[in-house]
Amino acid sequence: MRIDAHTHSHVGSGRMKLEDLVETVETAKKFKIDKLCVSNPFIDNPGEGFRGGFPNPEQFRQANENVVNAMKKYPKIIIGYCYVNPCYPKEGLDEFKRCVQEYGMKGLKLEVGCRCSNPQVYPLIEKAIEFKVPILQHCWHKATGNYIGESDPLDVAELAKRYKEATIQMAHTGGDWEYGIKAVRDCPNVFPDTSGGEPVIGMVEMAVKELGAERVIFGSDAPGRSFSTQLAKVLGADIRKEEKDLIMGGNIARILKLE
Amino acid sequence: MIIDVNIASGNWPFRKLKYRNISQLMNLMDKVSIDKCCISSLNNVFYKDIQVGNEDLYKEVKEHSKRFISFGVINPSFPGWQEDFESSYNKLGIKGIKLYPNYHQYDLKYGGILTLLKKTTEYKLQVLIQIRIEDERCHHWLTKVPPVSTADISFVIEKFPELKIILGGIKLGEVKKLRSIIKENDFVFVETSWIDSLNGIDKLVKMVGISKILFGTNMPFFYPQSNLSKVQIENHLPKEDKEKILYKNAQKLLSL
Repeated sequence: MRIDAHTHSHVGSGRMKLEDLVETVETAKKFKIDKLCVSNPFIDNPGEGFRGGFPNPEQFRQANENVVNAMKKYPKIIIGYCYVNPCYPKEGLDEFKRCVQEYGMKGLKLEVGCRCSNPQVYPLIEKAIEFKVPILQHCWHKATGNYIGESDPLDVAELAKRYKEATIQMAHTGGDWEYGIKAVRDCPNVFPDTSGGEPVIGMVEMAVKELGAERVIFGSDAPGRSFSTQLAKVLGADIRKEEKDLIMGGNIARILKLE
Repeated sequence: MIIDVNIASGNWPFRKLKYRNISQLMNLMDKVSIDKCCISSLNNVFYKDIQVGNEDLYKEVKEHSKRFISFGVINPSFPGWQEDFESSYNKLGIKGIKLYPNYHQYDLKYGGILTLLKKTTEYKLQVLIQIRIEDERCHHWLTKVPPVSTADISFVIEKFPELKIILGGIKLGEVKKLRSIIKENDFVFVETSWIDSLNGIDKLVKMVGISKILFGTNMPFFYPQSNLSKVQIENHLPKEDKEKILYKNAQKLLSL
């Protein structure tokens, strides 16, 4: 089974358009991708997008409603992840509970807003441990400088060492993947995903060599990225077929306890 | 038939590349069925005397002339570039030149570059302008190099309407800014390696038209499977249009 562990129901500002989601799902089918883990960290803030400000509770609740609609449209394909802004601890926690308990979402998505080493994030992590769901944490080590509130792989490592029972899906393998892989090498509860970034030769090979194939997860970041670009990182990698199978779906299926 | 218009051979100072010489690149090309490539020296991004890199590449590829079309890297901000250019054209048989304006730190609007592009037009050579090599967010701390600006690209296109220009390492957002001028000018082409969005090739065709698109992989940095899949699978183009991108447009441009 092929699972894309990192996609979005919409990119940029504005509300999700259903045809965008249909295009993503139909294109995924071309590549024999069976399931998509979908979150929506994009708020209704025309002209600014989520980078322009931190979503308030009303905005992140609306973003999650979009994911619920996607889950309803494609119940066998879409696995929802709940997105909240940890800068609103109480409302974020309430929304996380609502998404998991009422809508059956299977993960927590955290984006730019509050670095994950910030204690404001801890109650959400503790709830994710209680719910036994993974935390998909946006993460990038940028030569151009991070956004305020944007996590670095070292923030992820710090969080992972504080909460060893947490399962953390580190987005984009930390962006600068050589940095990201080394930063979390001694954190067995961190699972870098391959999403975003360019299809640079050697990324997945290094991740497998340093972390083991059982810790690497395929993700695309579609529709902002193409499936072609992102799949090439795994399918083009010089690793064994069994390792590719783990990365392409085996690992996230185990984490999400899928049949 | 598949023709890749943008690859390079050599070393990269910040990472050991898996495919860094002609033999290794040919193995990769064979693995994914790429027949021919336009190739230049990657060492020349950092060499001061780029003619050493051009000559080294020439020696490596001359036995494989059916697989490789040589592009010489020229740095018009470095003394003696005129001789390097003439020598590359007359002795090394280059089909085009490749420019790294921001790595070599010159402006496309002033100085020797204008003379170089005039001569390139006269000699009927292509010019491949490399907008970027790596994601700026992942650059090494010693070399943070911004992409070539779309304003500079516009200037060159307008200034040299007869020059055959390939825009390499360009993103969809940059193509969007340049789409009018690309469409209006018969000799400007976009290479696919950095076009990345869901069904991005469909979007690219809509912006500039099928005849302006050339297949490129950005080897040895990117897995070639990425761009093959974008053109062969991830779009809604008919077979004839896919063939135009994969090789027919390049055949026509390079008179192959």
